[in-house]
Amino acid sequence: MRIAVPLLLFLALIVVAVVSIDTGGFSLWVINQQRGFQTQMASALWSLRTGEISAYLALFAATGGYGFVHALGPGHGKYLVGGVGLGSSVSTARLTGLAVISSLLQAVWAIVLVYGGFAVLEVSADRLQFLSEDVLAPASYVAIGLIGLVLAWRGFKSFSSQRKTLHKDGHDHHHHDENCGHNHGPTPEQVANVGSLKEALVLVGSIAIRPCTGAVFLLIIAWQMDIKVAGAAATMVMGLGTALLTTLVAVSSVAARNIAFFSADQSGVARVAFPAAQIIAGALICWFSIGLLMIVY
Amino acid sequence: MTAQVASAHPHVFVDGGIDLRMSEPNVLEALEVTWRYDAFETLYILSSHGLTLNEAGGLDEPVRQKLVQIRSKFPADFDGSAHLSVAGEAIALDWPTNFDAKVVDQRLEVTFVRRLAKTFDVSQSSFELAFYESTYFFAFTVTDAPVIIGTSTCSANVIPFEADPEDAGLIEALAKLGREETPEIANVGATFADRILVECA
Repeated sequence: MRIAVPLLLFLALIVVAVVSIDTGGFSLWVINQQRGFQTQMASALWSLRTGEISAYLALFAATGGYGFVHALGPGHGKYLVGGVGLGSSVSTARLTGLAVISSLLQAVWAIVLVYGGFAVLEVSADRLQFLSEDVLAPASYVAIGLIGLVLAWRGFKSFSSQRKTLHKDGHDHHHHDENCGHNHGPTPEQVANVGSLKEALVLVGSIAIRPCTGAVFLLIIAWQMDIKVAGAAATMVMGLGTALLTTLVAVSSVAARNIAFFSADQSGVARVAFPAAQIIAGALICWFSIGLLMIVY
Repeated sequence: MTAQVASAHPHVFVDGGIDLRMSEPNVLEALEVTWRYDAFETLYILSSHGLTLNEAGGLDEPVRQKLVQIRSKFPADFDGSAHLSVAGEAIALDWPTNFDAKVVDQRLEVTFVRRLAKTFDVSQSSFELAFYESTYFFAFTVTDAPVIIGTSTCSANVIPFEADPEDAGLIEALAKLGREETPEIANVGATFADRILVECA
């Protein structure tokens, strides 16, 4: 445990550094890597089409790498996972699990959408792209925005209840008797932590409902080239690549929150730190989702 | 103020170039554009139209003709990828014509012509051709040396895009690159464009 705290701190610092100090070189590196993985995917798909079973390995390596690298840019899933990590008391293990499930379900949903669309609905590739970009993407952004609102609302309620408690007590909680017999505001253990099945489903669903464009492209190619099993398997590996990145975001965001709480505790402002974090994280998630919706419409 | 989010990392990579066609000495008549899609996009384009490469990795003639028929219908918001300007002023180009397509080394290569709305006497002038798509969903790179077809006193040099870590516009554009979303910055593709500088005596 003594090792875990500095390790998490280190990871959080790396993420913050990459996101905020990037001067362009990193983003351009990501773009170049993506191009390389796309070329490898195409080569492996073609090899599989011509019967080279050994190309499975190359395909999985390329799609796994693509999933990770493609997820390095700012995307809707990471904002939500990061925001929830900062603004709720969800544990690292739970948020990591939700992040992995979200990424894998996103891959499964892409398979259902493309293969189901072709096999059952007999729709065209253009219609599938339309469904993904113009219907499911806005739905995802609305769902994410609602989660942000709920998070911020909980922060406001928490503030409000503390003010009432403070008024009744008539003394400063920082100098109270430990046995004064009431709840002194939320602690990480007491606050809702994405604990209910319903909350977990909403979080996972809001990310997974919008399939990755790269996965949709891959599946359309695999269907047309009649290498459907390879396409589906490669899409799942792509999801694992994405999951690895969102897991890092989950771990980093919870670490950052814990550091903030530790500091707040030391300085005696822990009581307001959590609801403040909830409000800020909720507001940022809302802001992000509104921005995405404005782009779509 | 709106949320500062996301344009798109490019999903499609296109190599190629722009040749210049003179109708008479030093009179620029048209641009001949070549696009060579990356191998993944090539497979996607064919698949999305229900087409496939043959066993040799090429296009059978009926498939090629069908592809030309389909792809020669450019969408209404097509921005041309070849942006001609003189001293920063854009020169109008006509809608693409003479579209053709083939597959080379498993990459789809398409060519088309953009005639100038009005021919342009290039004597004693210099002008620029930028090779980009405005949303940067397509990342264009000039890989083919520009050819001047016809008589001219011009020379054309490719100026590849080079990232300047101190360029505020570039940093802003990169900060907004998301993985899925369409761009919020107008004409973001121009920021990353390879350019061809043409100077005529």
